[in-house]
Amino acid sequence: MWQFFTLVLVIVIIVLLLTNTQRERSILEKLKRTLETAGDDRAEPTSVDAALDRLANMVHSDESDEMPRRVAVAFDAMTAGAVLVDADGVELMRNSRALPYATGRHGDALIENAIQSSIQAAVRGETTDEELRLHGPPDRTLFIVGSPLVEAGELLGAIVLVDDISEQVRLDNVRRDFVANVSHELRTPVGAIRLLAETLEGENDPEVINSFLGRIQNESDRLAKLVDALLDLSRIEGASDVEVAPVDIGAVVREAAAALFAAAEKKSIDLEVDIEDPPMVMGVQSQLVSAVSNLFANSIKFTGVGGRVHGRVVVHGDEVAIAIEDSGIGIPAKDLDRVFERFYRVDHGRATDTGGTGLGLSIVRNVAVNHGGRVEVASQEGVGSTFSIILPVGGPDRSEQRDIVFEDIDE
Amino acid sequence: MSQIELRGNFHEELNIVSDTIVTLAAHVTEAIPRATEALINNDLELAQEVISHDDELDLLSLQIEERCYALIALQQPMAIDMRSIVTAMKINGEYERSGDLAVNICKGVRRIYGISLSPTLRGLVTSMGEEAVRLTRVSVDAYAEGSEGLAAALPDMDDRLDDLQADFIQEIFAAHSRGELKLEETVQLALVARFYERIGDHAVNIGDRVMYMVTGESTESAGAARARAAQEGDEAE
Repeated sequence: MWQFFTLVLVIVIIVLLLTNTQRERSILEKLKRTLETAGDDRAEPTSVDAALDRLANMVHSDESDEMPRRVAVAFDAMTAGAVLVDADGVELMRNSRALPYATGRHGDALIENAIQSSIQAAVRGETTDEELRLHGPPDRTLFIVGSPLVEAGELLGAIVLVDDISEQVRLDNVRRDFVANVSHELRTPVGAIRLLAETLEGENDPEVINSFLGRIQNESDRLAKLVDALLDLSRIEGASDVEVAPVDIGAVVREAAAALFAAAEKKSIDLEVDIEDPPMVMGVQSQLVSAVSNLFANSIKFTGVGGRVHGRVVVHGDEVAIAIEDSGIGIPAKDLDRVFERFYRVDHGRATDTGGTGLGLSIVRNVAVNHGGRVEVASQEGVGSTFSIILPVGGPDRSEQRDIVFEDIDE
Repeated sequence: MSQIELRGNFHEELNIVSDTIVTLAAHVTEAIPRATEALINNDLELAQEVISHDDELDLLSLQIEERCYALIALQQPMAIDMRSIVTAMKINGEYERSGDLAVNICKGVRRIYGISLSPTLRGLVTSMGEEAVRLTRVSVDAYAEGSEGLAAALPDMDDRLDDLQADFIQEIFAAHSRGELKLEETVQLALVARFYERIGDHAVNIGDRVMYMVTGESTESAGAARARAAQEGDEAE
């Protein structure tokens, strides 16, 4: 009898050396344990038979060769983190996506904590799913699913999958907020016009009628401004084959600032422009002026009386940055990543005071991206903000001087 | 069981203690930004989540402590092993307390519910929260890596948090004198700033403990140094 077991052990070792995959190793380890306790009366003889059958199947089937390796590679290539355990909860395999969690600190340590809880539940036969939000920084959301692996009523082990859904959650929020914001922006003036018109119906006092008509006019203007901005944005996003020409960045900044000196003066804001030897970029002058004006207008809007708005043009290597710095109320850290979304409002309370359309920064971002550049923002609440449009010197592609291709960069 | 096996088990147990401390610290570093978000957004639900979750931190802390007692009783460790256990026990308490401070911030959120913070105050709260998280993270890194360098950086980092707290206190008093904050709100906000500042102090204490673990030398506080000098003076007379 013992010779037979020795023979089986030899086979075990040979197969282990030949295949060298985690899966076989775990099964064979189990088999080895079963064989070691085979002489014990308490051990069930059937478990030895079952293990031998499984080994025989594995050795004789095609799977013993290429298949397990393919499965192991596929397991490792999964985009979700995956951890496989046996029926006792002992870890058999962990793919490379889930590897950092095992020894991680901070947020990763909490993900590992959640994985271990899922494993414990799964080996009890419970399927679990949990959405774990980590405030970070960075803010992350993970979806963790634990499932028992059962075959013919027998618990073989469990698998836990960790899916990083942070980007999906971010996009969901963008979409939800966009719909909520656009309906809010359109409903407010429409609602006001309707109410004013209803009140006018039974009104005879010419003074009141004039005042109400004036307000209806204002609300209509607001609505028209909003629709114009939406159309502008869609034009910038969707247009193609727009002629580009060399544009003097200094002239762009000066033109944008000139249009806003009056607005700055009204609030006693010190509006300064500092341009030294501005480079040329390839682009559409009117769009760039519109983007820079938007930034100046925003800074003036959110800066208190007596504050300061400073526009600078700085060249870094083959990039030029148009930076508009203000001493305004600043933007909360949690909103910084989102201010360029259409209709995104940092705070509804303060936005309504300024009468903006909620599309300005979105237009700025689109213009920058269409010119092969990007926008950046740094801000601290109560201290101020700096918005920068960063463009490649000479335009997106100097050599070909081709037309800018306007891509749809919808969120 | 041989001596070598005994030590092997001991180090396995010690690794479990250190891993559990890393998990406890991760809970704390997560609780701080949650508390800050609750404070800035007047989010009572999030505040309650942080408060309820603290029970889990308390349990982890208790488990660490019990494991340390068992290690001392059963293994009678010496030198670096003993220092590692003592350090684990000490910093366990520091993290547990930092978790409590995040809870205190959330309780403050309930007491001042409904007030609207000025952009300056919101900016200062955000910065204090970020600094407190940064300090706590560096303290865990220093402990997990046994890094003297990281531990030594903590006091300087804490100075920035102290400065922010001073700015915040000045700003809330100014807001109070302008009539923007009631006296009770001002007091609660001053306490909240103090809670952030204390989280920084706990991180510095952890750094001191890590130094002790690595070098075997304790950092003497200013008070202890004065008392020692006084005692030595008495003896000389």
